[in-house]
Amino acid sequence: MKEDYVASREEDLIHLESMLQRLFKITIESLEIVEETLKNPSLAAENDLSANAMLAEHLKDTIHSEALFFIAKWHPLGRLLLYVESIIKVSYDLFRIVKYAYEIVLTINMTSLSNIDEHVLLAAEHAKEMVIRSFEAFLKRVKEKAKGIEELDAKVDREYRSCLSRIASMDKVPKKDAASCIILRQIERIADHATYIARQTLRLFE
Amino acid sequence: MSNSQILIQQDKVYRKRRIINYIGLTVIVALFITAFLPLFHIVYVTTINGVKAVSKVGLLEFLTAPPNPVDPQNPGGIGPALVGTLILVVLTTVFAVLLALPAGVFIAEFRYSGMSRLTLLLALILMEFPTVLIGLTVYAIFVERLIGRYNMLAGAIALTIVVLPYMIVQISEALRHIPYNLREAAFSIGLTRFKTIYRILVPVARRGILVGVLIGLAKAAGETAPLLFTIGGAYKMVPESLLEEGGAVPLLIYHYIQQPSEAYHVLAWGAAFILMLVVMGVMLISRAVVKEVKL
Amino acid sequence: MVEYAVEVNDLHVWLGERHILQGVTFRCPERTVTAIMGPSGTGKSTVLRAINRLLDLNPEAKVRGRVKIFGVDVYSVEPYVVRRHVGMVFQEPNPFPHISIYDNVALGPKLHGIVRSKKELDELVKWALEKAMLWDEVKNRLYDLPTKLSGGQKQRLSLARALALKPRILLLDEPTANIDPVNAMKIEEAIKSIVREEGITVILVTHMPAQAVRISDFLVFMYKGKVVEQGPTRDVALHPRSELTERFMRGEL
Repeated sequence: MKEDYVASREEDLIHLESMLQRLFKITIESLEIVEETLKNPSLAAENDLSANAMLAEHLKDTIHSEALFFIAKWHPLGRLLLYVESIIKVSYDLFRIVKYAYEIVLTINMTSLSNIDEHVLLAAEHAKEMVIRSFEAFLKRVKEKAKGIEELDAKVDREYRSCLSRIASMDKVPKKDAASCIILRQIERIADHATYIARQTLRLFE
Repeated sequence: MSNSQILIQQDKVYRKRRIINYIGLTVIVALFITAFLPLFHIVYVTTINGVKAVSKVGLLEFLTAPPNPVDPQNPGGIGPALVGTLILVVLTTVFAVLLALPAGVFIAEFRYSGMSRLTLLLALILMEFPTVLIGLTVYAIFVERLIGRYNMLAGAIALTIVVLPYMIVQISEALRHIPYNLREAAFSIGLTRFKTIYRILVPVARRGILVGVLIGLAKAAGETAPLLFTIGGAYKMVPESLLEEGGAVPLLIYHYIQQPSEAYHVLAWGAAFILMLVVMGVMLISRAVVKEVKL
Repeated sequence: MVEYAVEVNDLHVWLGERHILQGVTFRCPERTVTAIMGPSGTGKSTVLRAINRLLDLNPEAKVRGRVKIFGVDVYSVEPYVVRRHVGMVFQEPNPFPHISIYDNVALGPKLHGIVRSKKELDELVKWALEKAMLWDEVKNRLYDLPTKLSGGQKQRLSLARALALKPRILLLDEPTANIDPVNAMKIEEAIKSIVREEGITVILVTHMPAQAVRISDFLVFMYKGKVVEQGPTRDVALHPRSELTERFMRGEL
């Protein structure tokens, strides 16, 4: 317990990063559950993801207060201050992603879909890849990895828009298409948060 | 009023102030010169007469030869008296340091105790004491009662009493000026009071202490009154022991200037010149030492 | 019963007529850093000087109450023994100006007979200077006088001098108040490693809340000679119970 108190600046920073990594692990786990559920909608993973969302929220809050405490304690300036600010922002992005993952599973369960379009699954895979790439870029401080995320984001966006225009052309929207659109909308939000993380990285390690 | 007008007006004010400043400075410099005129005069007269006297026989001869005032052409020098002064100064310095160092430390380091304050008070009183009385007292005890004749030791003792208060005050001041946090530092590593004093405080104040010693030394070299009734005044030869009669430069000046013959006066002026050089030299050295003090 | 490295119980100190400490009580577990924090003139430094009995130097000081180190009442033993085991670093860097850097560190161990040989002494001096994070800067001029060192280096030398006696307790009286931030950081790092690696118990007096938060396990907040609040550093720093502490943390006191 005392080691926590009498820590050096680097150790405090490592502590922050490790909490962020835990949050990231939860995020990826949630996205994997989403993929599983998209492949097999009868999987009742709602409770798992609800627990994940709660855990993620708690972690996010802890990271926020720890990061603020870090700033009060060490008076970081320059790049370090930006980095701590980014940790706060990234933790929020990851938390939102977990929350959307939960929403997706909730949507599938509530609408009791039996099968889901291939392109939705594809969009979900894209989104997950974006999250992994942008977060690794952030943590390993490699801005090259963060490049190209915007293109993937545009791809997911297009998927969502085409779904919207498809149901716009219909008079009566079947449950399956409506659900696909809602899910795509949530995937699109996940992709957006992944993009924010990538932008943080680019801004930070220019 | 525009900014430039303000500037111009202020400039006028400053010009007036500057003139007042010059007047003030002039007055101060004039007073300074008046105050130090006697000093310059003494140095001037002593140098003129002294150089004349010394050059009559040559510097080396003057510093080593015994006086021969019966021959106005070759009046000799002040050799034995100079040696006498040297003996007195060395003895006095040794005695005085042995007594003044503990006393100075006591005053500075136990400054809250009543005894320490009393010691300082006594030193200050002793400083104001007429030196001739000190000479008389030592005469009564050491010359008349204990030894039975004029002797160098009595002279050194009288000089020690004269010099002691100056040294005590200077040494205690030097110690007092050491920052308090050095004392705390010494105590904080578990040093005893005694070790703190001789390991830290005295070495740190050593320059200030040295200045005190030099001031005492200069005073011992220049004092006349304490020697009047103690060392007698034998200027022709160096005393064989400390219990013999002897001479000293200031006493020689005092005695010779009263003689009616010209040769005596020449010797006295030469001796005065040498004495002045020695005392001023010591003072200058002590000033230089003070400048070097750093913490 | 837990044995505390330092126990201060109902400590009162008068300096002349002034009642400087009015019943100060706190405890420091072994191998921890306790920060005593508060505005200036609150009596923080007086607490330290009561612990290692430097107050004895001031004949005006009157002390009442109990100060124990490792269960021993410091006022029941010789002050020199207490100070030998309780190191102290002062606000003003104060290495001895007349002896070399080496001798500054070596003087204590030599006079207390801690070392048996020159080699042992050399090693001890090196160790202390390393612990104070000064070794690299002075290893080539160990026999120079410390007068040429910068303020921060002088302060680290003072720290090394205290460490050379291998104290079990170290008292730090605003050690970084008069030095630049880089040196202050080095001293903070040094303090941490001393606590962790050597198991020394540290009491730090500081008027900077951020510094207290950086290096202490426990916080004691003092105001006008009294302890207002104390507890684990994070608790006191983040959730102060007293309005005074709150205001001090905000920088308004």
